[in-house]
Amino acid sequence: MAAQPKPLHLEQASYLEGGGIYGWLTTIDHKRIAVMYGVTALLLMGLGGIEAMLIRAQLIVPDNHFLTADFYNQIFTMHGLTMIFLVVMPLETGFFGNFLIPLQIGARDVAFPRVNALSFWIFLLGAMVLNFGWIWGGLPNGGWFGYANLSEVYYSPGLNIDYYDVGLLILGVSSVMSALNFFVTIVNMRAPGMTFMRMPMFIWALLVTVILLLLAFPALTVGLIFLFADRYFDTHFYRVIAGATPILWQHLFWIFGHPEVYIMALPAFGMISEILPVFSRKPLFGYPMMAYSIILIAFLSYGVWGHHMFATGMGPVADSAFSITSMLIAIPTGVKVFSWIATVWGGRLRFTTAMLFALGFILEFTIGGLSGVMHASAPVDMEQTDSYIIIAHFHYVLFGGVLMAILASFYYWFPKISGRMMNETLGKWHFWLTTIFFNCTFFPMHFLGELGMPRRIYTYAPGMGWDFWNFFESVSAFFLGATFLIFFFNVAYSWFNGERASADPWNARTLEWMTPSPPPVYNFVTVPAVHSRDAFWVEKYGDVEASGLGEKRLNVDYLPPPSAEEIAAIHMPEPSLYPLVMGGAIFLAGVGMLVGWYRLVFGGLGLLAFTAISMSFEYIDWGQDNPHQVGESFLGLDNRKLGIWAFIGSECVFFASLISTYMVYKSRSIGYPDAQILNIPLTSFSTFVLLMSSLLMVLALAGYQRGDRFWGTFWLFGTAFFGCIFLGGQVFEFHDFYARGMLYNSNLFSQCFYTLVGFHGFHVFIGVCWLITMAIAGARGKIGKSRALSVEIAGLYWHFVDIVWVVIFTLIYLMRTIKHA
Amino acid sequence: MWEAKPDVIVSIIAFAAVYVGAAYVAGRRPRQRQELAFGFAVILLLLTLTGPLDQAAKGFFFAAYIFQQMMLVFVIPPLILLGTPDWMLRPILMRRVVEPFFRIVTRPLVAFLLFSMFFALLHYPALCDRVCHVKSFFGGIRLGLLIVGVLLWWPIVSPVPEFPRLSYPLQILYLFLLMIPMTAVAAPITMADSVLYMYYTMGPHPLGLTPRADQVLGGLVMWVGQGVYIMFVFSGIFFRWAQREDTEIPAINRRPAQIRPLHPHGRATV
Repeated sequence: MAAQPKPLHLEQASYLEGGGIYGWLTTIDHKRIAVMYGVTALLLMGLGGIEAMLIRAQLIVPDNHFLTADFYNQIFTMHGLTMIFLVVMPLETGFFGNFLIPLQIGARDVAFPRVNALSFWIFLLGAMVLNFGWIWGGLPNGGWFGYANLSEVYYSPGLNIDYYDVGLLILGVSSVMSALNFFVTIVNMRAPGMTFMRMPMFIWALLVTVILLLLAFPALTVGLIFLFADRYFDTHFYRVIAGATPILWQHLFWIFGHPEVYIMALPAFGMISEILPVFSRKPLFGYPMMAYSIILIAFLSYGVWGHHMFATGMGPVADSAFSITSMLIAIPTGVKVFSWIATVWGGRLRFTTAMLFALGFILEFTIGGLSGVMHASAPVDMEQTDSYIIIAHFHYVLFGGVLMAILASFYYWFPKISGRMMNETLGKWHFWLTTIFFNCTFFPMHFLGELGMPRRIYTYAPGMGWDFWNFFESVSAFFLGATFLIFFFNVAYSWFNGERASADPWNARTLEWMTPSPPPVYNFVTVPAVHSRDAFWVEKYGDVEASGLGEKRLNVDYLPPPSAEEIAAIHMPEPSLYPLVMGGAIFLAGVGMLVGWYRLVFGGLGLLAFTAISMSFEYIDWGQDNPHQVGESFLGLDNRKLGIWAFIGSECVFFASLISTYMVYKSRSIGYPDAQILNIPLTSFSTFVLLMSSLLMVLALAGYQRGDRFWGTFWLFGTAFFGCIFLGGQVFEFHDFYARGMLYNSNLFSQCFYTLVGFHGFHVFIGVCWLITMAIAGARGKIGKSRALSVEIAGLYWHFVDIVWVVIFTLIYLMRTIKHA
Repeated sequence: MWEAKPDVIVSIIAFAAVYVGAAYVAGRRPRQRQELAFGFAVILLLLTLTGPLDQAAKGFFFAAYIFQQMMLVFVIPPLILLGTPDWMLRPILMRRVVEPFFRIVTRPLVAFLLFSMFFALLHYPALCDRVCHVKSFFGGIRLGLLIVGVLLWWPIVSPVPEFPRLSYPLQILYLFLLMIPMTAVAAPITMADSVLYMYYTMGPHPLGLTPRADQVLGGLVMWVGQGVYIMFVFSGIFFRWAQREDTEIPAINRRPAQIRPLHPHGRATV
């Protein structure tokens, strides 16, 4: 890299100081990354809000032609995509999650700080790709769900859907990476004594959220890959003419999409569970039940995706089952609502803006939840689906629920983030006006839905009985938009001119308030030991149930600054330019995919590989406070090892989706070629070679573990060599198939086969590159006994790839010999 | 309708007799809870493998067949494991030949994969049509299901500490991940718009179901039925976990409790 990032100055009082622009670009501090997420998401919230205003302006009177039909489609699609992927998710996990996870669990940073920065840059670029249409025209216009087969080239010849496809693929990479990072951070880096049952509820919510993200996003990725293949390589994944079914997209989308609803909702639940106890001066009611209901919701969310598809004709049996499971979700959610009420009940309340928003959340979210139970009933849903009542429902859940929680969190955590209080007077105006106009805007949509107004129509005829409510909603919506100007103004004004905040302005309960506001780069001078829930409260008052009115045993505002020796004992990772460069490489590859200029794709991927390899050799000095040791992990696993396990879990869903698609489509495939083309003797040989390579991997690891550099390196090269033989076999096989007329887009069989086996081959290829890099490092003596763990991690990946192959070989190759009886 | 099936009944009785005999030889009596669980497991085995359910499962009733599988995989194995005392198993499991092998197959990942692969293959339509309805395979398939079921449940309810259970949070994660293979098998069956298993197109269907409706029902028994069942199991695990963490300080943080003052700047509290 040309310019070296400037080293950190730990004596700085606040993480916000120092470094200049370059310091922000190369930062890997979780707090700075959080702020960058926050600023980006707030700007995009403004954009999403403008889109909402345009929608309402178009619908204000019947027969309006303010927007064209096509532009209206683009606007409502972008409104949904922006608010879900670019506002709510980044604000919850990217902004508050990033900022608060290490602070609330008593850590110095997240487990993988550079990956964290990389997630942000990728997120930023994904957001840009989604919004390219503002510059070159043709924003995504297929709805946020982008239903096939309207997304096919025949129906959408422009770049609109491509922006959607590539943008979401990139955002998926970003989300999965930060999910993995947060998962490892929460599991491994909690302060000593912070057991799972002592974690703040926000951390519980995020833990479950990131598990959902890891297991849900790959399904969408698979769906998007199929869509990309359909649009660019003329395959037929969603084309009825070749025997495929567009419903496949709906399945893949909603396997992701329903958990996605909880990916958005659970962090909001967590935020509320943090704010209510503080301003009620009571501990959270029913802590175990709250944690339990979060996990239960996560369990249920995977079994209910069918309820988005009642209208596809799954049949009465399936409809009934999905109705029941969907209604079941009301139970854990109800548990949460009642627990919140019980938390507030009998408390000595302080009606700060944050508290008002939190209370508003309970009310509005419950309304949204109740209409959700209504739609869970299949016959009712058949009436209501695609009408405005659905819009009313999810705006009550996502705006009245999730966004209210986010706003509450802004008022609550702003002092910690910026070091200044937000203006409470403006805040209270903001709360009351937002609540009033929110209800005026969205409540009448229930009526419009019942009156039969469909969603996604750009205009409507007069005299349908819809005129008044639409006018009323639009006017309210404009006021609602205006109230957000108060909010934006408040944030901007308070950031620079707000009243200085003390370390613990709210008399709060969790660890983040122990640090100065804003916290220093290293968060905690010494990592705190935790003895109970609400650790900070107990430290202040001696008892969780304490009223908070007595004298504090600890006042964090009156402490002398840390001494030079204490500072000297802290090591933080240095800033790095690699994340930015890597993000840029992915961006180039994405743009190359969009414009079909494949040199750019390969250039981008090459740069990505180069930076990935050089980044892996960048030395991180964690010093004594190695995060692998802080708060000894409960699994006894190293961060990186746990990370690769989480990654493998995520990959399982990816391959399960590909394999299931193959299974379903194989029997629907029409004409030549079919599974009989598969060459079993050849593949048996490659399978054997791959299995042997796993054996060599074990030998290599054993070599490095006993410090035997020669044999370790030897077997590592051997593994890579066997991997190459396997790849060679695959190339030969593909070439042979190609010569026999089996093109990628010949029929359903060929495209599913090539996609599945090709992606597996790609994984092998990555593995071979990884092993060779490692073997070269080993040959140069860079992998000592102490770094044998790196080999073990590569080995885990390699074994996983092998196991996937065994599954593929069994289900796809061996099974081809069995014909129907 | 009860069909006389001496071979199955004799096997189950023999299984129960081994249990009683082992207790007799060891000269100990299992705890009452264990006896109850085991007895319940035997009764469920009889009900599942003989009688009307088995009749229906072997006939043209796909959902009954799936239900029988769910019993064999999800309900009976944990009961057997809960019902067997560790001293009964130890003499067998700790043998030099058995121990290393058993250690491998009860590792959570291996057990999980063995179960998933067996279960997925068994529902592969072409394979199922060739195998599932052949009389000579009946016993093998059901025994196989029972065995992979026992392996699957071992990390959750292992009776022998030498082959330990997972920690509570990992048990929950394990059950959560079980959704991936179960959904991957059940969803395509439920959502298929044609009958996948040729066998079921041949015969008369019970309860007036069409073959396809029967298939959807079977898929849902596998998907939703299993899901709801797992949810109950998970609830039990969660509350034991919460209760245990409430009452005792767990060894979750292996670092010895080195109590530092909870203090941002690392000095003694004023």
